[in-house]
Amino acid sequence: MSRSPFDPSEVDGSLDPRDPAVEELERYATIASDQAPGNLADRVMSAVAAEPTPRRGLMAWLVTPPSAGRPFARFARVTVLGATLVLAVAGALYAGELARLVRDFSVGSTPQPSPSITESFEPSPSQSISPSPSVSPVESESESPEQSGEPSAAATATPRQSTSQPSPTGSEDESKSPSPSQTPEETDTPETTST
Amino acid sequence: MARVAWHDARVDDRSLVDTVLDGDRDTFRSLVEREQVAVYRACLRILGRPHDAEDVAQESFVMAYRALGSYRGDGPLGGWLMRIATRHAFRRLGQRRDAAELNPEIGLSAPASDPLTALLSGERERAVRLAVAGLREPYREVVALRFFGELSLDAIATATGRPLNTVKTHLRRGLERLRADLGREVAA
Repeated sequence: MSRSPFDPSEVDGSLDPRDPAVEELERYATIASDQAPGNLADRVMSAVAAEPTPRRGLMAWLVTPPSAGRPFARFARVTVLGATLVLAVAGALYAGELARLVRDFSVGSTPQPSPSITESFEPSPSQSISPSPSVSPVESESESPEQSGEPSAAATATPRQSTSQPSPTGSEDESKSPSPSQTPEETDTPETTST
Repeated sequence: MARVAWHDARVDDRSLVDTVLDGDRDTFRSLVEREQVAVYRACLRILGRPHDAEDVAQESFVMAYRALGSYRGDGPLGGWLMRIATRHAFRRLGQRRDAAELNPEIGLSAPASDPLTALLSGERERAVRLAVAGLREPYREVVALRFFGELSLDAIATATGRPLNTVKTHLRRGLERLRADLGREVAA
């Protein structure tokens, strides 16, 4: 067997024709060009004799074209491919049906725990009422600086009383009175949202 | 390329492999006789020792026989075989380097009259082997298949399943790294 020396133009001419690595590799390949020992094939065949006949891989069998002189090979491959496709489609349909059944089962079982969830959420709107009066102390700060440092519920209660008394007289108080009067309405709204 | 023409002149490898898979072992023998020179040489160039090369070549053929059912026939059988053999040879070289090497490297070239020349030649050959073996994949595989297995770049692209331009890039980069490694070895 003759050697096939490397040609730098194989790599689109971007390689130096006198590349030292190429020269070194070529020199080494020329040196190490011994013939195979004569009994190598015998050794291989004696080792292979103990081996079972290799089996065709499924992918290789499906992908490779049938060789000549095998009239049934094409028919067998088409049959296997068709059966695989049918099985894949049936499997997909079955999986979809199974998923639908699981979904239906899970939807039918949810109404029982759902009321318990709504009951557990009922206390939470009462807690959300407390932030809404906390807005009113900001307005009460403008009226009385003494209460400005306390954002507690006691501070929120005092403006309501003060606004209810002078409501017929003061114009400025009237402008501020609607905001506490609206706060009970805001407390109603969380209850509607909770349901 | 001589090797490509050598392959094209042969019978269709796929049908030969089908015959072997049907239980005809004589056909496998003809395949071994056809490919043994190239496989043995590649193993010898990687390992540097004729006895090791013979063992690895034989084992590679047996491995190929066992895996013959996975050969898809989309390229020449020689490239498929060469890939098995070079991988196995590099694996064996790694095992050999892991073990303590008591024998000094003997050059593959004809014995020189001057012992010093023979020793220097052997060291140079060893430097080339180790430099190629020290390359990272995929550069090592492409360099080994081209220079040790003497496959064409088209055959390497088919055997490895990579685009031809990718193979060219891997070869170019592998040679660049090899140039640096060999320069370092020579300097040492």
